Amino acid sequence: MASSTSGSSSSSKVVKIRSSDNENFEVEEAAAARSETIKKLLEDVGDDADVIPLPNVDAKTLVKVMEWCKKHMDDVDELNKEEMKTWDAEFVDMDQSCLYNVLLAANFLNIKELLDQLTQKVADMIKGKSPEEIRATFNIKNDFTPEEEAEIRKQNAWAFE
Amino acid sequence: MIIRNSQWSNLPRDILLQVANRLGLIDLIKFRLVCKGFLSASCTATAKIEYFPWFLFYGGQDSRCSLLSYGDNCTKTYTLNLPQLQGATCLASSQGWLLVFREGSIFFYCPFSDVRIDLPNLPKAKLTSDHTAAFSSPPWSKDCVITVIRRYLKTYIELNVLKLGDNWVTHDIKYEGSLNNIKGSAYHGGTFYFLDNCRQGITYCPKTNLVTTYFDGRNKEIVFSLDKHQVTTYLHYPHSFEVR
Repeated sequence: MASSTSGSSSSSKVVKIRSSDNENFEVEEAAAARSETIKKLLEDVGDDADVIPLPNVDAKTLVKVMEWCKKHMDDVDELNKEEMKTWDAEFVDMDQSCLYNVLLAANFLNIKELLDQLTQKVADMIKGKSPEEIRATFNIKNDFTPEEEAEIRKQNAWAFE
Repeated sequence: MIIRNSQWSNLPRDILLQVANRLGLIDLIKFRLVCKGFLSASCTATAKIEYFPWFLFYGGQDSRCSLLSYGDNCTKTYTLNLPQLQGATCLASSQGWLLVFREGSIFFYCPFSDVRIDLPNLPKAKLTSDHTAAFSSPPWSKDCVITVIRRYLKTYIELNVLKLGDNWVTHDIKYEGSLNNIKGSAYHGGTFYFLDNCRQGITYCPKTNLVTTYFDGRNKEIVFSLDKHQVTTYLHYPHSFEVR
């Protein structure tokens, strides 16, 4: 039917976005607008926009981010708050490379609430770990010289007991 | 599997800072030791106080300071060795600062940043174990008031007050009743509290300069003004006076 393709209904208006690896996605505008970056781009280009290019986000990551945006498209009422919390907790429970990419994407796309949830997840992964364990968890190279490391340890020696 | 090295240490600084700001004190200190990127990104991070307040004690023995934290299920004690405080007496501790007396000089010391802030010398250069002290706020606050107090000759109180930026003012106060040695000093909600071990003591409000004495453990109060030597006894026996 014509009405399903006209896009005239504002409630289900769809925008097109393109990932860095040139994959196109159609997303409901209300979901895409959870990203301040996309919202701003949409305002700037108006209805003339064909496809919004997102050169910093690959397709796999974009799918993940838009899944979150879709879920968080509408205001959550009190009843669904608990359900949403569970959903969010499951959402951020992803493998590390994915978490890293989604974190960067949330930052670039400027989705504050998602960024809050992701940085909290990373903080939770760090809590209770020694510097060595944190390095092992995130595969980070210790780039301090032994002297530098000793000096920083000395400053707060009490905390390393 | 090829693991890309140090991907996480190259996260944008503002993301790292947001992560760091979500950590507690101990976790933040450990976070800073992971790599240079983590250290420099978190230099402005502030640790959350997660559950309960931390307590800072200075034992005096071997210049050691104990930091006590109450967690969910456990109490943990950390020890800070402070050889730079050799021979010093700690008079009070609050909000991460120690008020320290050594060889006639009195100063604030922060065991975490190793910062020392010297105060004018006390009018009476000799401190005894009868002295106790309290301060209202950290020394970087312009409203910081420091009090050092002792009882002497059974019924007299020597109250030394320093408003930061001024000099010490000493008040000798006659206490109506018999007071034991002051055992504890504290500041709360605009008032200093000095108590002996028998539910007696005095309070001092730096804003109004009023001293109120409580004695006999029966909530008697007398209010009086030091400079005017006026004594007003209230119905419930308050005893307050103004000090200038």
